[in-house]
Amino acid sequence: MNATDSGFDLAGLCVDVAPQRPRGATSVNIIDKVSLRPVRSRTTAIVGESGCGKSLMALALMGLVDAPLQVRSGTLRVGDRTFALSDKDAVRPLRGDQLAMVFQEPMSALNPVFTIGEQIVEAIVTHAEVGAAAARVDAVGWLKRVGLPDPQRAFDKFPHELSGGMKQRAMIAMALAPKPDVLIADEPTTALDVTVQGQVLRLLGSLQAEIGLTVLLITHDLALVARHAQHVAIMYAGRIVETASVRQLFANPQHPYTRALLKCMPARARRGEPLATISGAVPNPNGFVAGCRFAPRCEFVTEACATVPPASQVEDEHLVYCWNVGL
Amino acid sequence: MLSWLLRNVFERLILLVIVSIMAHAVVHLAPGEPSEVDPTNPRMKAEDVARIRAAFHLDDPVHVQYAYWIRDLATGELRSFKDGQPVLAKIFDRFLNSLPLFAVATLLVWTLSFPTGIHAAIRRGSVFDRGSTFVAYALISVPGFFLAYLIIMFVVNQLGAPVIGMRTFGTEQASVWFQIMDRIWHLTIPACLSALGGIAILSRYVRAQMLEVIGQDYVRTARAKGLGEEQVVYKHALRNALLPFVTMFGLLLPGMIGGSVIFEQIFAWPGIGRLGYDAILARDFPVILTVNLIAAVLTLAGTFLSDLLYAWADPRIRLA
Amino acid sequence: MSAHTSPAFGSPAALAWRALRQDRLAVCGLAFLALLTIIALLGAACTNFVPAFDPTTVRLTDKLLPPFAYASDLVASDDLPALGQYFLGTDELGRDVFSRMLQGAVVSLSIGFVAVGISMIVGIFFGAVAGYFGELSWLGLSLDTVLMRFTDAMLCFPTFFLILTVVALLPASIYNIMIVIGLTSWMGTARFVRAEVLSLKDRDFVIAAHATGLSSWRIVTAHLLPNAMAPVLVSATVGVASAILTESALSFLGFGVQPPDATWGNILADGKTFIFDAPWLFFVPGVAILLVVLAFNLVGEGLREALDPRRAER
Repeated sequence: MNATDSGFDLAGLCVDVAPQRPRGATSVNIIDKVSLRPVRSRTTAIVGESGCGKSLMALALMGLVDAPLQVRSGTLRVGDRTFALSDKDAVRPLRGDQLAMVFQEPMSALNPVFTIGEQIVEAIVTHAEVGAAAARVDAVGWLKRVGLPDPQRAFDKFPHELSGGMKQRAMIAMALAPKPDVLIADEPTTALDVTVQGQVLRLLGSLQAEIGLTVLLITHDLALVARHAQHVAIMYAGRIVETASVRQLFANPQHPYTRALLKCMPARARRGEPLATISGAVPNPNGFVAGCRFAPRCEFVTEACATVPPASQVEDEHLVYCWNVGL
Repeated sequence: MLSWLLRNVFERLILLVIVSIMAHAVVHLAPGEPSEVDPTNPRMKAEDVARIRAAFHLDDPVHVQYAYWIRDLATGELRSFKDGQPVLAKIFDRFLNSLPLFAVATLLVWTLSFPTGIHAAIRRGSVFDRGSTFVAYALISVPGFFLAYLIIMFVVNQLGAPVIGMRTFGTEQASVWFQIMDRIWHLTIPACLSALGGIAILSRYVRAQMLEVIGQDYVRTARAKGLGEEQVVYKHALRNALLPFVTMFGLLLPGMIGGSVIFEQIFAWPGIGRLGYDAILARDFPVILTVNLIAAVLTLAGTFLSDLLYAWADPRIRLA
Repeated sequence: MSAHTSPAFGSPAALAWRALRQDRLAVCGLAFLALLTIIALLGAACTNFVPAFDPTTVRLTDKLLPPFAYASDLVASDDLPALGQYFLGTDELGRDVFSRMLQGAVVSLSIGFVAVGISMIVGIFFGAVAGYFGELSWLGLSLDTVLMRFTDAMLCFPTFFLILTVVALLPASIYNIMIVIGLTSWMGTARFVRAEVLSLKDRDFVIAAHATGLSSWRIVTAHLLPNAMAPVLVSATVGVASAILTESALSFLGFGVQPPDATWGNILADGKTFIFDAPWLFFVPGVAILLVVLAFNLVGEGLREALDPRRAER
């Protein structure tokens, strides 16, 4: 991967929580030096359990992190411009225009008092000099493209009049109408029915192929990753532990956490045997240890694990952050 | 829609009947006579007492008296115990006096509360927020007439503003323009004082609503779309935050009678609150009952209006 | 996106208490009220038993003295105030304002507490019965409908006006005032309690309680009501503040507690005639009421924040 192939370049992101009460409590680190270079026009998945910080990372990219959480450091390079993520307003010009985001809960992410058509038109006119009529035509076109039946009527509907799947499609339309380069999809299908999940992800895949969209897909479901992503980064306790192409990850998982995750997939379970689990639980940020944060739960832990492991290149495009590579 | 309307109106009428019965019972079950009927007054002879009692049906059973009251009220024949004047005319007259005071106070409350509350919510924790919170709490906690007298002392000494009555004595002959200005000048201090408590309460409520809405997902979506902060707050957030206040509009109506007693007493304003107070002192049952009933009618009409307004404003609500 | 400050352990009451402790203003309010209660109780003892604090002692030679003035030589030794000094001045009859305020403290506070107590009892009872036993019907009307229509009807009355009407028609007494204020402010509590009971009634833990043979009454009192207490507690705290203000308004209009009994409300009302000659007679009770009501309001708001069920998600 060289610079021209990447959709954007995130380097050294650190996010802390600085609690305001009780007073004088020290900041606790959540995300530690995360770097990411998703490949342009491909889907890169960020996988991790709840609480690992993947959604927080997405918000940090967009400059949407609110107190008491704070971005300590991190730079984002898009095209030939670089932004300091510690300044929330720095990335404001990118929002919606080059970086778009779709959220997990379509129920609450759309404003209930405006029609979805109005909300899409608003997204369009904010980033382009078009008249209302042209924007409306454009919006209806997008509604059709995302697969909403009868897009003309859907335009005038309020969010509560649509089903979950349709709302999510509308959100995607709203996010893509201003023609961004990157779409961050934060668990876009977690709140939807299983049958609808596949539809929405296939939609994302076809749109990506059509317009060359770089997609950052945040999810906890490895099965989705296998079917809909080309690259993947595994995240644990605020750190990236492994990045690879999807094929490489499934064929040759290196990090103990990745291996354990794969073993836990229900599809890989064998009849008659107990389902695999990972012992222990994801720690609270107060309980992050120095050094490798997975060490307390790792079966291969050694003394070396008391310091943070650096990246080791296993194959082309495949990086692992572990002292025990090769085992 | 029509069935909802009819059902609502019907339910409210039933409530009104219940309220009238309750009011009547409360007033008539209290010990003592209407003060005009004063057995200890040496100039009142026994026949006079009996005559007055008969004229006002005071010897009849309570439910019969209720029937008389309703009948007289409906026909407009209801008369005050105190001076025999038609009750509805008296009330209407005083109502017209109270109306400007109420209107100006309400205007002040609604125009000042929203900017204050919204600004405090947007700048949560700032000096403005903490300062306005402190002032609001102080205003809610102070006894109304205590604050009133303090302000009156200040205002009379420093500004020479009028604080008694609706107009200056002897201005009936002055030009219309002068009279209007005089009335407005007299209106200022009472209206401002009446408004203070309302501003304190409403601005707190506005702030709470804005804070809640600002934390919602769709506000985050609006920011993620790249909208400027003013648009996020004043278009997306505010429109949702204002929904509950639409219903409050309807509840303005009954506010007219409730809060005014104290302030009208302090400022000698001849309004409906004072009428009620004098009626209570004089045990003028017809006036007391009718004022209570009118307040109930206003409340019921107000809540009805609120329901309608809310259904109109919130697209999620469809009247069954 | 939760801010990890401390894990959530402990009973809901313990959690709420910890949350409340973080609100500095509410804590100040609580401290103030605790102090006030102690002073009021001590004051009640002093005013009743210690001659130096007798609020009814009339000393016509020492009328209208400002705060911290010393008793003149013309005052008999039995009538001397504590330390020979009038801490808050004297009124138009030479009575020690400090002693009157002490006496009034207990009375004002007890009016507040008793009135709110009555409104809570009535409100909780109506709300629980309407919520839990609401489907029982009689002559086509369900119990819920009857109780709620009655509540709605009560809400139609302009509250202060109603209180004024009843208090004016009844013989003047402290008890009447307490009862009337209590009986006109229960409606909000009834609605909260009813809503909570209705929402909890069909939960599994209630069915389980039934299955173990608990009587309906016990289920309501021991299992449902404790869950409904949050808004009631907030309402009660703010209600005491409101009752004290109402009492002072009634006194202003002449319908409050009658002399010689002192409440802060009637001391304030009497003081308004001397506003230019002896301003302390007006300021002292006014500021006292302001501080007490403010304290209750701050604690009430703090409770509301601390007991907010959505706090657990934050």
